[in-house]
Amino acid sequence: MLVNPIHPNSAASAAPGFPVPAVTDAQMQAALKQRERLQEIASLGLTSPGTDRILQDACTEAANALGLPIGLVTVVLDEAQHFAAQHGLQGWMEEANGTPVEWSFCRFSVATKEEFVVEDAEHHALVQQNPLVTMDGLRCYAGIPLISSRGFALGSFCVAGTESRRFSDSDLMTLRGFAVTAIARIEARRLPAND
Amino acid sequence: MTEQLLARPDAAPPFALQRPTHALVLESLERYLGPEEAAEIWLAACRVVRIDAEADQTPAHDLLKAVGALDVSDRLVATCATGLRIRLMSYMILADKQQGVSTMVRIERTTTGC
Repeated sequence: MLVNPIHPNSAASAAPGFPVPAVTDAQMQAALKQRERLQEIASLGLTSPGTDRILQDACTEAANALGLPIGLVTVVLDEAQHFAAQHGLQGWMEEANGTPVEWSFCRFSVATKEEFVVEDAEHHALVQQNPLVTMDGLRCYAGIPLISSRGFALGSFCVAGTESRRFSDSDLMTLRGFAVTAIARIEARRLPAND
Repeated sequence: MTEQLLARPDAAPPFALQRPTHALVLESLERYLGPEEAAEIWLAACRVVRIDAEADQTPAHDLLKAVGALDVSDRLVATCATGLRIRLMSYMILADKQQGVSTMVRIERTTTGC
């Protein structure tokens, strides 16, 4: 069964243009809670306090390049997603610097290690009842998984907006370029003691 | 008005979020550290902030203070604490928003414990 955050018994229907990730609840939980993946995140110091200027700039540039208000580098943990860098967030998500993990769009990329694109969240079976959609007005999203050199999906490089929109091949190519920059920066921060 | 709101800090779980508990914290710590070490460091953190590690109904802001008392010199603990802090903060902010509690009142409650 495909995962729906609010109604787990609902079947997912295909969104126009992009495939809906085929991931079961068990697969999702296993991926999010995998000890080795969490250890990899720790070894990369991805939740360290302080702003990484390179990641921050990448978020801003990606949001601007795609004409969207939000750009993020997310780290998907077992209980929450952490914003390692962000552009454009306000309100409670900025204050918490993340969201509960079950509300994270990026968890689908982490579980599948594939890109996750939502062009119209109100009509997307996996996210249409997600509080980020119903409460915060998120309508579109495109996320590229950030996969470490050791093969672990850490989170996503993503953009999001409050109006539905189409994502072109060119948009996704642009986003992939920023994701390459982000993962290179993340790998450069790998803490020597764990190498 | 403020006193009334503070008297029921966890009155209504917001947006189907599960109310954070000691068990949730311990389960997460166990994923990173294993059961024995997790229990040990959580008990130590609870002692520091003087809350009962066995209590069923510990308010979220007390759990947040205990998470803040975890020894984050260990990278695994620090990573785990980040996730827990976000989860607790999300719950508190949204619960407060639902009840009309301002950000300033929440900060005061978290720092003073009142």
